[in-house]
Amino acid sequence: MLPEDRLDALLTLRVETRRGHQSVNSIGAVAEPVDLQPLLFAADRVAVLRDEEPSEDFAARLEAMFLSRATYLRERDGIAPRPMNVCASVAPKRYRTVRFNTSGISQTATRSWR
Amino acid sequence: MADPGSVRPGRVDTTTWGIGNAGTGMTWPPALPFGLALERARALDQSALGMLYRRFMPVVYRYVLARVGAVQTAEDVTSETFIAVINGIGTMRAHDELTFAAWVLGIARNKVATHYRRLRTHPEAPQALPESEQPWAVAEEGDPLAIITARESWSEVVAGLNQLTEDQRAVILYRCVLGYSTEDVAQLLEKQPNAIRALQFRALASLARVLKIADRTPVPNESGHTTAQEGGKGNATRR
Repeated sequence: MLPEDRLDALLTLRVETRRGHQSVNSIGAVAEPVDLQPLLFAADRVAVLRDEEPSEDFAARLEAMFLSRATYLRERDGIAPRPMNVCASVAPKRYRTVRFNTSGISQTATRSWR
Repeated sequence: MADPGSVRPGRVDTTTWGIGNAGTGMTWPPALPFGLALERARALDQSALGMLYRRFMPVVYRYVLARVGAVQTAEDVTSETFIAVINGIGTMRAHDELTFAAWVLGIARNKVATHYRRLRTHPEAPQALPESEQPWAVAEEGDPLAIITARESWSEVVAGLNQLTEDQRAVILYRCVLGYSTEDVAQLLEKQPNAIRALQFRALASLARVLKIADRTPVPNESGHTTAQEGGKGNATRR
């Protein structure tokens, strides 16, 4: 097994252990090679941020800004609020198609969706 | 993706928001597949946008915080990222969770780069992080010794990360902070999993050397006694 594969397997094991997918015993069963320990320590130093959460106040403020921007864009572009269950009943029942015949003269036809 | 059935912190499965987002306490509505949420978000549907925001905002925040190292700056850059997200979501091509994550994190990456460019073009801007902006400053309680240790440690880590290449940084942050699997990181960065493993190895070796971790690591010598390993033994890093 290549060192990069061993390192990757050990990092994966750590992640899964943190998530509770592996028991502590299973970690003990996998010896961490001495030559990889500095790399694993470096990974641990970075992984501290894994548990960082944005403050609730910031999250709420940004969400309000995010959604109000969406409202503004929707109004600007004239997009109607969309119902949660879009189905054929809200689609136009008829549409127009433009076809070209061999002489290059277009023909317009109106067709029904159903 | 290696194991579609497994729950990964960086991703949403059909039942949870992802364990890595502890604190949100939200669940992804099983009745609304991710693809459908994306389709509705493109049409600026508030409910779908809200779901995507609550799922991805903590991910982006963690990524940005790891890159800039200061809470206030991380909030500013995260805000800029989400404004860009809403402006571009109508034309975004993502079709599933991973491609959406790649798109959002790509925007965050650009915003961080812009932030550092701004710092370079405005040298009068403070480079050192004010005390109140350090990540540990938000910890209102806790072991004082742990806070002091974190204080010494974190700015060192951010400085170390900033010495890596863009790809090396991305691999370390996606794997170690955001918790994506190697296969997912490969898709996010459009590389092969083997290339990601090699990149990860070089990146961590490089970071260990920059942080002088190897110098502090006791390793047994041939006689069984422990000695300090010389920096990054055998882990030469190509940048």
